[in-house]
Amino acid sequence: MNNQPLFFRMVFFGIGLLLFAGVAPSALAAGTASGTVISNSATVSYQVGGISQPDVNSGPATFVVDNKIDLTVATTDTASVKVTPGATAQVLTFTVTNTGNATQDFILSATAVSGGAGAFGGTDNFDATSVSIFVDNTSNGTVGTYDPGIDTATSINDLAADGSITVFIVADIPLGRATGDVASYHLVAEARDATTGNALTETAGADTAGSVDIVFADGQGSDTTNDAARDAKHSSQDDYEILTAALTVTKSSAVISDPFNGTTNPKRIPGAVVEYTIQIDNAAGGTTATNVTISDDLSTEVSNGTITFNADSYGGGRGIQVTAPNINGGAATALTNAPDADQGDYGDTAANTVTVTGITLNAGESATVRFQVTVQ
Amino acid sequence: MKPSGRGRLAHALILVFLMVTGEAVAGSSGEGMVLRIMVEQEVAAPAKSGKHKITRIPASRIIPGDEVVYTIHYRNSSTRPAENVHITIPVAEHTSYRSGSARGADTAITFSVDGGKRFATPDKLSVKLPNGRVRPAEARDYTHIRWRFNKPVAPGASGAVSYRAVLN
Repeated sequence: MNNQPLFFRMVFFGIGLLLFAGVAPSALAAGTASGTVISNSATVSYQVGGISQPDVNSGPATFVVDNKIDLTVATTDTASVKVTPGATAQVLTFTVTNTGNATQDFILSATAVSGGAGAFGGTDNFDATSVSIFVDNTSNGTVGTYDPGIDTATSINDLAADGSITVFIVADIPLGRATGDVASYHLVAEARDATTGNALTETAGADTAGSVDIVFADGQGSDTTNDAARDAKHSSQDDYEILTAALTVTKSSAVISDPFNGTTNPKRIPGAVVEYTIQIDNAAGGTTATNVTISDDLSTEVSNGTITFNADSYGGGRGIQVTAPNINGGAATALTNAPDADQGDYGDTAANTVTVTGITLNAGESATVRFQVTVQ
Repeated sequence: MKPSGRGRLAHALILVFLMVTGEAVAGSSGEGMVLRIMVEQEVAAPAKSGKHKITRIPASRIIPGDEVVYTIHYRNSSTRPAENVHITIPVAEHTSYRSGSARGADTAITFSVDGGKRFATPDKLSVKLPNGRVRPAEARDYTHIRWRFNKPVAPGASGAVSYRAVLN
């Protein structure tokens, strides 16, 4: 048998590995690795008639460490994720940690909360759309942050004992939601066999000594419908919360002068100058509105001859005045009627229409647009 | 009567040999003291009274955090009393001694935190920290347990000592 020497070499090599594995210190917080053999023996020393006898050893008592299945899912968001209606690819962030004592695979699912309490307050009252789950790619892109097109795995492959990885729920936010609306989700992770990816089954009944059994040791997470204690699953809840700008527009008018009374108690008679004020308010508690455009179409009144637009109300060929926090430090600013670098025009963007663009309003801020007409 | 370093190495090699060959019977025979060791776990089984009854089964389904009970049975198989009897056992690797769990009738129980060089009662054990300071030893520091028998073991007499450990 030519193979015999090789065979013996392999056996000795195997024993060497066994010894090495036996003395490797365990640094795992998750505990002693599955499959580890724990061996122990006692020794007795004694004398007979005052003469020491040889020590006697008990021989070993051994057991094999079983496969503890345990995991923790936790959101890393410390508050609800603020989203605006219509936003796409909005991200809820979680970590999945293998707190068991062996490498496992994990499958992932998202459960939409239906009308229950949000994780960070409020009550779930809508669902996001196109809900996907992606696992962080730890060798590409920014680790811990969702990278579209890079973080593409939808399940966790081979997460070592004590290992942790970031998982994202990515979804689109529908239009038409108001500030404070909540869409809440549970991320549920389930441990799977690291080799086959198959579902794990807890070893039932009596143990076979020396074998590695599977023991579920997980607690119950946030999703009490789909996740119980000791079911190889764990879950955590996180929320999308709408934070949007709520703009209100009010229009008022004041008579500036008439041909007979001048500016003293003027009346709305033909020839009178009337100033319109359009006020835009962004409600407190929402978010910043940018690129706000105000347009007031005077076509009907101009074409039926009831008013004319005063092109020079604010001097120097400027018929429009804007007061906005982001324009000229918030001071009242006269704008030309022509299409040019400033934010306003009359009749250019649209016929017979006052248009002011580029207003930014933080929550709780206001802007006004003024222009004057002459009553015909 | 501490085993020399070489003696312990020989023991370890014998242990490995036993494991590799699948020798399952733990014990020794012949004239003199005979030792037998068991490692068990406690399980709660429903009893007729409706309460759970704790029973011991051979340690088999053990995951980190679980407790096992080591019981060392001894018997004097010789015709003469065994004097100055000491039973010593290491706290197995990957396990920690459960504080206060060692039992043994008519024995003085001491512990070692230095691999079995020195044994003392828990209140006299301390651990030197990397910074040179010293703190009182805790159960997880124990490396060995020793039972010193207060009286000789009579011919034919037997008994047991035990302790509990938690799998790290």
